[in-house]
Amino acid sequence: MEPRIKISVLLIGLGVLLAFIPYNSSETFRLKPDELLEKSLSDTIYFSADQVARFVNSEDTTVQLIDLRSKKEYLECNIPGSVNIPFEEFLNPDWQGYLNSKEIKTILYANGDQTANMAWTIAAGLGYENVYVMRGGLNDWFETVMLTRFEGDKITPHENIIFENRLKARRLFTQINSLPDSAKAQFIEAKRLKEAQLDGGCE
Amino acid sequence: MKNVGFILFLFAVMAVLVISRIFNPNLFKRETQAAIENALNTGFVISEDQLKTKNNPYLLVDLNHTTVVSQDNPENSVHIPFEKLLDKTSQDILKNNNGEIVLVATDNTTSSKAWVILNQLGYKNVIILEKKQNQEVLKYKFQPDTIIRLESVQN
Repeated sequence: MEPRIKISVLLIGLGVLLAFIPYNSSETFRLKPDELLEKSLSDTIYFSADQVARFVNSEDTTVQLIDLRSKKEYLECNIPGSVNIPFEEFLNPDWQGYLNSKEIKTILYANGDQTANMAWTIAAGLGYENVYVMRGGLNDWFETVMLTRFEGDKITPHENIIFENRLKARRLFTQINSLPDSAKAQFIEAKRLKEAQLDGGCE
Repeated sequence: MKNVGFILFLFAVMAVLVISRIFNPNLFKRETQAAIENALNTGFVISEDQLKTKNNPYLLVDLNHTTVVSQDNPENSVHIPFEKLLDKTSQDILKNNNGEIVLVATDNTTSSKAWVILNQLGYKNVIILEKKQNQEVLKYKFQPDTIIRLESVQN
């Protein structure tokens, strides 16, 4: 058989095979199901409200909080320092920088556990690293931090540290969320611009 | 003749690779956006009261490590611990089910993660049983501090 005919047969065959491969222009999970299941079983993907309060108080720059609720809910109140990425926009490429960072821990939260855990599973399935969940969501934040009370005569040093941490976080939460909506929106936008400038490096 | 045989052998290998990839049940197939769209549809979560009045056939899947739920509904329930969700026997049970798959766990985090995994594997009729109602609703109303604190100006 002539070489030209052989090459033609090869190319036609390749074309036929490629035609049967389903072309999916949208994103699908990169991890295999058993890999994702194994990651899902780990308890190390969770941070408690107390741990998040500590990050907030210390303005830890290696941590980024992501609020998965709607913009309206976010503006009503949110954990200081958090960025709003509504769950329906989770796959928007504009947010990739926030969600997929090797250097920064990304902690997801919503009102409860359901949305945040779904978002985490999607992020993990897409191969995003360093993504975590605040256990219990904002409901647990309110129960643990905002409604914290000390009752009793004596407090141990350990309890005192926890209480002080919660009190400081509560104060910060109240201050930021008590700003008028216009000021809050400006504050959030200024923060976003500042972070964008920092990402751009030094001038 | 030898060259034609070699080319045919290459085709056969590629055809096997492509077909095994397409029909492999152990790979995620759906677009990720489908999981988000389905999750935004409130119909994927039901309460215990709604389950009692459900007319459609369903299979209750208890995802807890040790069974808790299945004891109440022995007929249409099965215990599949979350860590065994992808085992062949578990997958056979889920695939052979004709009705909806209702996931239940003591911890809502488990059923949420299982839901996404099954959704991306191609299961379209998976719903979560919420033990406590409206867990995704904020139970607290934040009261802003509107007291203006005047700062003293020192001359």
